[in-house]
Amino acid sequence: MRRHDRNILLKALLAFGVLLAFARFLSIVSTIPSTGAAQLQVPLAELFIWVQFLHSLDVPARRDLMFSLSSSTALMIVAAVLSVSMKFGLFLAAWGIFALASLVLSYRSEIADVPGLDEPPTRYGSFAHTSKVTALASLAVILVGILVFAFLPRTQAMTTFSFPAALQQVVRLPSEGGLANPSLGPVADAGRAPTQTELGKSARFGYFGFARELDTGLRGRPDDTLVMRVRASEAAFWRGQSFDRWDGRNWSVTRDRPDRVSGQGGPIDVPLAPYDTSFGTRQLVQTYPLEVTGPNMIFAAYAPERLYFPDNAVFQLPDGSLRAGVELGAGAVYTVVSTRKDVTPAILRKADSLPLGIDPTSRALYTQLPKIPERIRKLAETVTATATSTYDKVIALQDWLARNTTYSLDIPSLPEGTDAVDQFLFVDRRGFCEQIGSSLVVMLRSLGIPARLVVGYVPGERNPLSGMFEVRASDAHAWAEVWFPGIGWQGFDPTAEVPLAGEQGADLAGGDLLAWVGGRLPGLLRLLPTGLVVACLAFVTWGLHVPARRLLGRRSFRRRTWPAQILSRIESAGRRVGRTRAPSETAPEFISDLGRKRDLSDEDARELGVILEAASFGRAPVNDAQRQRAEALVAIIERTSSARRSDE
Amino acid sequence: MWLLALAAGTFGIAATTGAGWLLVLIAVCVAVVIVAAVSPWFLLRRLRIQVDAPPDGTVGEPLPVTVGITGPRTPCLVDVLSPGTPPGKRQDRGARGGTSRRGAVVPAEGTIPVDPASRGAVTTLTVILVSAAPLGLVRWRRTVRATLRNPVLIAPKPSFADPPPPAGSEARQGLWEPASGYDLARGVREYVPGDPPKLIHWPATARMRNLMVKEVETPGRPSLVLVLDLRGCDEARAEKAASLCFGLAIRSLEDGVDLFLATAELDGPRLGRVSTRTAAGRRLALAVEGPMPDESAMGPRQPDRLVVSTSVPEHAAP
Repeated sequence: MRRHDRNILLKALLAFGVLLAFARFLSIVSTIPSTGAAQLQVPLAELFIWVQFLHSLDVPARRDLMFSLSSSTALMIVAAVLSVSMKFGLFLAAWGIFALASLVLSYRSEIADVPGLDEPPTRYGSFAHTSKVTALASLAVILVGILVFAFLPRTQAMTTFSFPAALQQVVRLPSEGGLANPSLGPVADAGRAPTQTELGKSARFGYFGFARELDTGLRGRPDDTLVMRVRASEAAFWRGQSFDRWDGRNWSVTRDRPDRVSGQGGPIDVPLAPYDTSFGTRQLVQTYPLEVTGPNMIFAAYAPERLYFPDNAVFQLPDGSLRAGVELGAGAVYTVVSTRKDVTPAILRKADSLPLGIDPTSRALYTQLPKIPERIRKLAETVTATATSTYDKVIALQDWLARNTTYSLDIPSLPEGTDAVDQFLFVDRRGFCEQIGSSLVVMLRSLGIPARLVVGYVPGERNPLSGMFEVRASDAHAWAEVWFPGIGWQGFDPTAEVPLAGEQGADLAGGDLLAWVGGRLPGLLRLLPTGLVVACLAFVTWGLHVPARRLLGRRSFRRRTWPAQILSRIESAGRRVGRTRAPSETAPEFISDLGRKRDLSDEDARELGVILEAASFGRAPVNDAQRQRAEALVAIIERTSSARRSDE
Repeated sequence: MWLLALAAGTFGIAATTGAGWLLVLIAVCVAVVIVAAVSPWFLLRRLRIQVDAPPDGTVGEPLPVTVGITGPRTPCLVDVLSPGTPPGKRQDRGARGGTSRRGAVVPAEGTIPVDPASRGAVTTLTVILVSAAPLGLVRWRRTVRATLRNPVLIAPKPSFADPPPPAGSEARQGLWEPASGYDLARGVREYVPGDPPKLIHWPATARMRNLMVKEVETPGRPSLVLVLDLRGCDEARAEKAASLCFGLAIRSLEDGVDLFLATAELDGPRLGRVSTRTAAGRRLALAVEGPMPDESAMGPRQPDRLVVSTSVPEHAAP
């Protein structure tokens, strides 16, 4: 359809299409309950896409194109908000290229609407040239965009009022509030830690810590399967559950009877333990889109206070951990709002004097120890001899572990009947997070400091483009939590730094980008030799391309007849000064016009035209004198064209 | 602007939703604005302009100016300011009441008709290039003073004090007698530029080895000296006087008068015969305020004299 035509039939069809789209939207909206305003997002976006599509079929004016581009940008914004994966990058790239091509063509069309300078008018916008300009513009936008992106500040807070929460499929778990972990296979609901054999049968991404018991003697780590993404403004440890009881080898949960917490149709408010409100707190909003079916633990930065969850109720354990009553499969999304206390080392050092200490029952629970070898206690006392505060004691033990033990996944099996912490601290001195974390907890408990072992995930790598933390199965982790009066539980980890909420500052998107590229540099370096070979080949091909074209051009030039060669030289001279021969122009007309502008008299131009016509179409061949005369006149045109060009 | 506003709005959404892809989208929007703003500036700087025009023009009559632009392939708008337009004053209206603006994709060459605003010798023209290439979002304008290959002499717009009487009418016959066609030679003299070729006296030329022309007695053909004295006047009045003088010159030439023009030019006073409208226009284009020529150099002949002067309120008749 031509845009200048009236296109009445098309307009009528498009109007009908828009009405149909609107009717479909209304029918969907009528099924949404009045409280589910957030569910309008997708139908609205769909309606917008239909209108956008139908409108793009009839764009009579340039402002319509601009409207189309603006509305497509709005749609991309909606998609960017909802998108969590890198696939969005492909859509963004395609949209960007087409939008740039539209702008290029629109501007060409704008210029073409003005009376042209050339006679005959220049043909605007060949496909090849438009593609070339669009490609160059895209390249420039990418390079400048990377620079702009590097200096954009990461957003530090999320303040929306409605957060995503969805379930692909509602599968109710048989035991309300009980722990279920399908990724561990048949042992999932056995109420005990899996054995080494059972662990081998579990999913590759299954972590043995997400069970009711944790056996520190087990070996084996999950693979790099992406288990979930986390959209959060700052890094934190995504906590699953804690263990309170240590028997020398296994950790277990003694208080495994969770309370049901209901949201009554809205967000679910989770009771928080009392804390000293004299220092600052802030909210950390985390949205978790799950990628695989894992445990029904609701991961959250400590301490969760509000939950946007696709179910009416969840279950809270006495330690504050949350569990779902439904299976959390791939595609499930929930959002947690956590209260983060702005703690710093200075605050933690002063915490011993704060009120709101731990209650006696909890103190007994979290300082519980079986009969442990005395040398563990002595080691803890020796290491913390000079420490004056709980915080300093924790740091002293953490530093000692970092200095004197090695993180290793390749460790010998734990001999039967031995204390796992004793074996790790005094025999192996090698181990992974379960041994290291357990050692810290046991040593702290031996000093009378309430502590517990927590399992969950480290923050994962932040994707610089989606801005989301990508949490892989191998990020499953165990660390220690220590009680501080007035503050509550605070995480510590000798093998990885637990981010303190009070020390997190603003960062730039470019920082993530650098880290992301840096993390992949070894892989990229491996590709370097291949890249160099490809670049060399491309360079050689390009180098050969130019002489080959010249050679082929000369050959074809030699094959041409004399008048064709002469005309080609004249056309070439014309092109050099921006005067191209129009398809409808005869050779004498072109020579006459070009000659007038290039210091050739009308008579000479006419003579040259006559000789060329005679040579091309005359019965008798032109003589040598005529040829020489024609050559001399062409030389004048070429000389003046070159001189003009060099003047410019 | 709308793209930057969109980027700002998107950042607001990014701050409330924490969506990382929005930061990428913002970066793309800002990058598009930067590329759209920088590209036309860069492209316009690389364009080379060449202008050419016919040697003669008249105020108020379209002058076809040939503009050639070379450089990287750039869509742009081309405009040529009318000669005589004061700097800083934009003149969009061109010939025939339409805009003189033309669209072009460089390299391009074509003609733009412009209306000269005032008489004079034009050696440069102001060419305006406007481009927003390639994305059409941010426009840049580049003004170039391009030197003409040959200067153009712009004649004043002819102004007629009275409507000319129709040819052959009684009133017209009373004004000037038409040339009789049988002039009598009363001697020969050296050729001066402006003498009609038909007056060349070939035998005398052969003898003297120099161009000689016949001095003719034209009892039926009056001569006239038009004196344009621009001393002590402002630009507007000088323009008006030149227009009036040009109108008189045209009328005189149409009536077959042997016309002489006395003007002051930058090189000094000038007195000479003009036999065509073009020649008269060129002389008047170059007329400036200055000392007037000595008419006694014309010798014993005493043609009629008409002074158009801006130093007195009305022009003086002989």
